[in-house]
Amino acid sequence: MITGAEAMVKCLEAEGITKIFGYPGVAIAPFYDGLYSSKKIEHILVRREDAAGHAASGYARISRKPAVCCTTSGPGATNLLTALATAYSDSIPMIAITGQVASDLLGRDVFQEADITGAAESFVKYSYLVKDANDIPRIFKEAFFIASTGRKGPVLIDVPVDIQQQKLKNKFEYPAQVDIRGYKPKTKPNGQQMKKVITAIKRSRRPLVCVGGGVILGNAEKAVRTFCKTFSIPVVSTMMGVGAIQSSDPLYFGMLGNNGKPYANLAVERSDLLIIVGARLADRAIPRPKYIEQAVSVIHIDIDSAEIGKNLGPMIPLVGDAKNVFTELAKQDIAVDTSDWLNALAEIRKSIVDHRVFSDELIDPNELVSRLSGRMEDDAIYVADVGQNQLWSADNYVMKNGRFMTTGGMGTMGYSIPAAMGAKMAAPNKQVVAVMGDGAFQMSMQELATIKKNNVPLKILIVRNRVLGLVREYQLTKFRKRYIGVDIDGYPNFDGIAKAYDMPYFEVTEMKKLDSVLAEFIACDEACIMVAEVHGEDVTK
Amino acid sequence: MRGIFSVLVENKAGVLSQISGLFARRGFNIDSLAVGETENPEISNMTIVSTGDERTVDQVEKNLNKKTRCNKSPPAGGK
Repeated sequence: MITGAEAMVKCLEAEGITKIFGYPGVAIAPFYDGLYSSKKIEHILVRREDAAGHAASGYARISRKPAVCCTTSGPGATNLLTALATAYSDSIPMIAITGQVASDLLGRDVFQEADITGAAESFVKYSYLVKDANDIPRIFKEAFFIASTGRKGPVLIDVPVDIQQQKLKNKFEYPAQVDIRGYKPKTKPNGQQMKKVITAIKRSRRPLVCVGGGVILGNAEKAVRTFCKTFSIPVVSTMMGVGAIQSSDPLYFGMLGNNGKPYANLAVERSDLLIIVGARLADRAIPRPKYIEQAVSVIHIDIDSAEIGKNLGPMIPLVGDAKNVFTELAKQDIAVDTSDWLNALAEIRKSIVDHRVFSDELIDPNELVSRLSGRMEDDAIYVADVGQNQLWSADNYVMKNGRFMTTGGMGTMGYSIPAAMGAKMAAPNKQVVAVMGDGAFQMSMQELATIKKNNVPLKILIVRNRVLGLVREYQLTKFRKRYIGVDIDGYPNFDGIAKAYDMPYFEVTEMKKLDSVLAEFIACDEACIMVAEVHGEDVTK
Repeated sequence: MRGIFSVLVENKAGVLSQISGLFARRGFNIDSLAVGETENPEISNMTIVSTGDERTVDQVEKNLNKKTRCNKSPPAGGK
């Protein structure tokens, strides 16, 4: 009979997993030995454990299926925590496998022991501490099911080393069905609630749809676009929803929130019915929930009933899968005349003047993002990191038929390089660019080795302003320019880094050369690094 | 508002902290808590009494519903 470790590998194979991002150690060694014999699964060795999690996240977002990462016990597992929290707050389906000390040593504080299921409890969808190897097939089947159904999320499987070595009693058989008590994700909307939603839309004069990341996670982009187009209902987006609607869509009014377009926020305030779908509406998206509650009627559509009413008050709730809901809504006879409302919105858009001044000596970050995303291939993948680069990206990204990815929930710096690497591995034929500041780059630049070693032709764009720009901007507006801890000028020498990892390097410091350097950068067919010099005084608002 | 939650959970290590964590994370105090095995030894029954504003009670209820492998009976309300 096979061992627990071999069973784990067979389970992953049965789930169709072909890549696993990880970092080995003693407590996970039997599982790695199992991987050695697998012809179907390729192991990608990252350079730090959190990158394994982010890479799996990028892979999952593009393949739209759960992706797998694995680490050893203790520090390996705790290094993975940030990636788990990041995936959890963005609802990314992911399976994290951690090694654990032998089950008879649990709780004795032996070498490299950490209570990882306990530590990760508040940011995994579910977790398992495996106590018997015979449970492995059932546990893996359940884990993949839980991660990929309902509101998606990471599932952690912690496997003590002796359980990995334990022989299974019976012949390995991967279960065909799952039966989890108390877990029945609701995807079909309730008929009564659906009627209320339809009536509310019919009655409205100034309806507005707000799309969140749930629209993309639920593969509902097309359904929502069709709905909006059929009834001429305008749309705004949260940061996680960027990319759900194409930029060229005349009904699209940009990203809302305190980092978004002022006219998108005005659209929300002037609407009489806000149809929110797949968004949790946290503080960055709706800074003044009290105002919205008083002035606007709200329909909240989400697959997770616990999201409804969490951040925004009285509303018409509708629990269900976004794709189901909007496919159904588009079939309804909802005649609303929105022409006056659309004209009013167009006026609002025209009336808003951008008062920001960008240094003309260096690169204008807004132009950088719109020209880069505008010129990449139609289905290119754009991964924004965290900070000013993220806000400039979300604000100016040109969505055609590609994907925009960022970590809107947790805001984890250093996400973009490993996530873009995972994305590129999931879609080797698509152009992938990771855009980050010089701060975030230095949080994940160890992964350049993984990229080079595995021949992942990824584009890395560093928006260099020599400061931790978003924190500096905060100190500018809220702390009377008492700048502290935000100066990262000086090291490293970026062309030296590119040289050390044997990657082509591009640099642009003046606007007139931006187009030609971008063209070379986009055309480069191997992993490469580009630095665009932006003034440290440039702000996002 | 007082919320009384009766929850059926798996009878295994770590479940109590998962459930109580739902309350703790929201800064929600537990007034009383009783746990006992049911006639099915794999399942325990938890009775939790807690006080908070209506919105928080509602959130805790929804999150208990969401907890995988946890069946909750409707809260016996009361002010």
